[in-house]
Amino acid sequence: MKKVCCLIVCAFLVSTLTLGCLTIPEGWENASSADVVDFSALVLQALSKEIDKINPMQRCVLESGYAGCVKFWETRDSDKDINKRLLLAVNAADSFAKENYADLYAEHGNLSKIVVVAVKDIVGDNPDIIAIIDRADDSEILLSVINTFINAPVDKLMKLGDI
Amino acid sequence: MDTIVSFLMSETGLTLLAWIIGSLISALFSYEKILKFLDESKKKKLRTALDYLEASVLKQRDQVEKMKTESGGSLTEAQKKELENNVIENLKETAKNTGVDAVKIIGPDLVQIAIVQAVKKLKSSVPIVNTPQLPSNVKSLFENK
Repeated sequence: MKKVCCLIVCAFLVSTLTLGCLTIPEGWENASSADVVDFSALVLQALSKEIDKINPMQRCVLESGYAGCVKFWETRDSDKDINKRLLLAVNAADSFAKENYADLYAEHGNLSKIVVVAVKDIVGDNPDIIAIIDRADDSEILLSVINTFINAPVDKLMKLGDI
Repeated sequence: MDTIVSFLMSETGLTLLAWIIGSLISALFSYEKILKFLDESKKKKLRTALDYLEASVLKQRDQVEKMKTESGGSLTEAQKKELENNVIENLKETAKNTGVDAVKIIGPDLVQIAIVQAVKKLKSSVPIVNTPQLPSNVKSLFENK
């Protein structure tokens, strides 16, 4: 009996621990594909504009996005479904920002907030764009960053490499 | 020598010989059974001890998160050592309450390796409860990629 109880407790704790390792951004279950697509366009636009070649905010979004995208591709042949792969990807992107842009991360709190500030700074100069930014929640913003790298046209991605 | 041979060839001698061989065979078989039983019981005890060890490792989860935050993402060697000691202390405490002394069963020299193995196992475990799912139209943006 003791052993059974121990196993049940272990099973529960294992599940909690495993989920605990992955942060689930706000709005994950209610993300809208339209919001993701709209925000992705803004991310791409922001990253394509060469306002300042050493703008750390742009660089952080760019590099973290690549890190997330690499994680997504790495798991292509695994038995994980799209949902889990995306969760791993957005977590990898966020962790990358946390580790490599510690000051920015500490200032804003997480990668999605950094993305919002970067996008607002670079392309957020009309009410339509501000509306898209305000509508998107954490999940949609992080998914947009991954989407930008996965689904953006090749010529645009080549431009990103020049930054 | 002749006397021994003639005794063994007699009815009493053959009966005695058959009895000795029979006893040896049955003793061998039961010896196997005893060994098997001891082995099974040892394995069962070890499995229970490892279950307790896993549970004890999992109890450190909050402490791990706190330490990671303090050290900026990953655990230092000193923090790992502290967590190991916490697990061992926790197992000793459990032994007092349940009578299952996991440290003794696993072996004091092997506990550290067992802790490392338990951490690896728990890290690679598949979640049992459902992870929140994205709506299908969002998932479809990333399909076949």
